[in-house]
Amino acid sequence: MLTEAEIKTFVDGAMHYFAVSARQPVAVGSPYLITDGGTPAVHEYTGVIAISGRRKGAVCFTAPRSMLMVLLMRMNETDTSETNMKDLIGEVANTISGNARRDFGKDFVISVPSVVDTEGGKFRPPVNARPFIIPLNWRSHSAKLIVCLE
Amino acid sequence: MADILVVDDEPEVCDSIALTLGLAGHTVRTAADGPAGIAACREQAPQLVLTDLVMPLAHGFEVIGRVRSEFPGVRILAISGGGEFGTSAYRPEAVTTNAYLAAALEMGADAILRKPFNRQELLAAIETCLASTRNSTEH
Repeated sequence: MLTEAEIKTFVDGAMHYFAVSARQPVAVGSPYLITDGGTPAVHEYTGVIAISGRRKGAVCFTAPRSMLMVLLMRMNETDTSETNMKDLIGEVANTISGNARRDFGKDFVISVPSVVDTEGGKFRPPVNARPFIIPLNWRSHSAKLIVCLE
Repeated sequence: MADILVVDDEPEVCDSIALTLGLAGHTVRTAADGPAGIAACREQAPQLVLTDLVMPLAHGFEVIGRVRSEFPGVRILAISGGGEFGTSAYRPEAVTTNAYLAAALEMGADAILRKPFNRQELLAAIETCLASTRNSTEH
């Protein structure tokens, strides 16, 4: 079972990214569990951090292109190409990953994030654990943090 | 050149589109949400409404529906970068840009444009919409 401290570490990583890079805080919505073996609905861009060691699974940050476009504009980036959107989602995942490395230490082996094309809206977590979804609301956009750990 | 109303809740996006269209010679008004967009249409109907789809208060589909019913001659260009309606709602189905844009066409939009887009893509989509106005007037 996920602990509150573990979830907080991942959420803090995402919150830190928005506070520093977008200069606007993200609001954390009500978390929920996906039950009955369902797969979480994801947006078009998803950054995935694989986790092994004391825990096994993945943490994902998924966001719609509309949110990433505005995030890039907030950073004074005029190039809102697919490449830059993927780089951006990777940066958010990297911040979450760095936060987890700092908090969890050697018990967790945390991968370099990979960016997955989830245009079809489907993502199957790499383990059987029930995905825990934390909505992250920023301006009028909503992203999700998906924590799926055994 | 056309009178264009841009409806988008993101000020950065709205301003960027307005600047691009203004530099291309169009007359541009902006509205920050669906109700403001509908009110602006009622005040003075534009030739073309460019509307985002995922917005607070009233989403773009409502804007398209209202414009279609009240101002049938106004052209509509729908833009979207995906997202969710209701910031905390759990939606088990895919919430993709393409699905939203397809729904916008079904609702009556004349053309669609996926975010992000560059200047050339925006101006081409506007021209397509306005050309459809000219074609329907000629026939």
